[in-house]
Amino acid sequence: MAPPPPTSYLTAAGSLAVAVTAATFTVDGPWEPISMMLGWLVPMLLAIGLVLGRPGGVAAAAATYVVRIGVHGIAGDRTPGLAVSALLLVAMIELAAVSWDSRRMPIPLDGALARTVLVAAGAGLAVGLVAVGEPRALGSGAAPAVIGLMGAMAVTAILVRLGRTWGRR
Amino acid sequence: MTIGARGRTVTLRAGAYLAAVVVAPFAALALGDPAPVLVALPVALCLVVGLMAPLEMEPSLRIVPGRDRSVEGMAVPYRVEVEATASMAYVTLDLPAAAVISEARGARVVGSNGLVIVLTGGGGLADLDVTFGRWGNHAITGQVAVQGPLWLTDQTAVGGDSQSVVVLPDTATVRRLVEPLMTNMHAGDLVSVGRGAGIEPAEVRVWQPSDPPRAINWRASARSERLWTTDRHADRNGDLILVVDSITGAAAEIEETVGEVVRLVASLVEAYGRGRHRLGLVSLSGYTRWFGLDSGALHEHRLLEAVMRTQAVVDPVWMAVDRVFERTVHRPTFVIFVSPLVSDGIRERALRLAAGGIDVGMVAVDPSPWIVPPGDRLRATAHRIWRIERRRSLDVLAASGVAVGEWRPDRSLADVMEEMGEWRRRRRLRI
Repeated sequence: MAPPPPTSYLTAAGSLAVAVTAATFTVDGPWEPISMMLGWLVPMLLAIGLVLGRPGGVAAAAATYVVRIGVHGIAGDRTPGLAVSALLLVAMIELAAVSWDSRRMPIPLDGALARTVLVAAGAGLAVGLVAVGEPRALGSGAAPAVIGLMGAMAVTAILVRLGRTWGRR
Repeated sequence: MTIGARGRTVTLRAGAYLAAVVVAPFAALALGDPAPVLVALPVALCLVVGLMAPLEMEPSLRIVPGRDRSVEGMAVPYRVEVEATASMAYVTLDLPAAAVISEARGARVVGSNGLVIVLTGGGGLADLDVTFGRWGNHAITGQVAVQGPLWLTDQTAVGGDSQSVVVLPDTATVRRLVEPLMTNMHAGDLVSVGRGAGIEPAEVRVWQPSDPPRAINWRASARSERLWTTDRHADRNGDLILVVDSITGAAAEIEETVGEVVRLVASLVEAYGRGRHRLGLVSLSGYTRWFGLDSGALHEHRLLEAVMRTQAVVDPVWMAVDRVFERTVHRPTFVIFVSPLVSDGIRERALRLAAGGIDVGMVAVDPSPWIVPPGDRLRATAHRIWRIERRRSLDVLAASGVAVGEWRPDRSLADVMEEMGEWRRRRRLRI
């Protein structure tokens, strides 16, 4: 089996660097141990996904990252900010995915990095625009039910779409 | 030709996005904080946009060579054609060993065998120059991958060419060859010992009634009262059989020598072919194969293709080899063995042919450059003994009337031919 190309190594390192950077931002107080644990769990899951060739590792890292953002929200610490969190999340996933993809198709490193920056910045910008107000206001009243409904609808739509896609394999 | 196209698949990226989107609402509900949903919102948007793409991108790949024959180290033009309903195509070529993309037009080369082609109007093409560093019969296949929007889905197809390229060994130019001692009855460039129509004068003798009037030497006849004629040596060609010995022995790890044997034989086929000799070939690679004596460009090409199929063999079926020699080798054939001479069987056959009055030559390829010198004393002693025995085999062959020339990487084939020719001249002087 041929060794992975340099693009795979470099983007994997970039993805892990992003995850480690995010892990260094922890909250003070009683939620700190959980924040730290979840924070370091993300790069570990990423490493498992990329080094051992388990694609589920990247997905688990993304899910853990999202949960950790919630923990930070409970702790009342928005550092480094929701927009930056979204940016780091997308950048982490994109770089990990490029690392994975470049093992089976020729992906130029510069193009992949430029695309990652573009998509990650777009995600950060979108979250920044939505969170201009007070995001905590969404957590009160009927908001959780609405959020849950929206989430369930999105998941249903995606699963239906994926079912069609996978059914054609 | 597209061999097979797989359906659209969801990428790892989509899986990770999906995990984040699925977890976010539940995390928000459980923790009582909307932050996870906010962060996952653009990710969900990407998922929806990416998965709303058309289901099939229908990629196809064609790789067409510009010519069907080439020589080692010479670039072969290839055209890569991709069709797909996407903006970019990522092509991975399955190049043979020692083949490199020396130039690409219309595509960006990534790594040693990757191409990125921009697709416009559902298709794109690139022109490549591929240099093959090793002889053989090569066909290039490849795989094309196209990405859906936001790279959340992809689709691949395997393609290639039904037409392979024959890459001939890079042959050495040899000006002076060891010519056969005996000639056959066909017209050629060699001076026969027999009399006949030719250029080389043999003697001036008294005219006989059967002599053609054109042979009368009028200058000599004018000074005499009798008619004189000039006898000439006939211009003939020779019969040559090249024996390709690719026997490397068990666990000898000298397979590299087989490549050199092939190069030398290809050079000899070309060189002797230019001299209008009739050529034959016996190959001891696996099944013993042989080609009868013939001449012409088509026959030469057939021999070269047979030579390129040579593979390293541990031990041939000697009974079959003997049968082939009995069938193909007769006087006045000149038999040239091209051999690493690691097998006693080859030496014995060469000696047997020489003893039977056949003109035999031996181009011995020295395998030493490919043998790693042993570290321990015992193996080093064994290696030294093996070298002495090989040297002795060469001496025995030379003493038995076989024209021997030893080839090493620092010697050209012309040097080897010179060595064999010199041996013959010295032997003739002794006789």
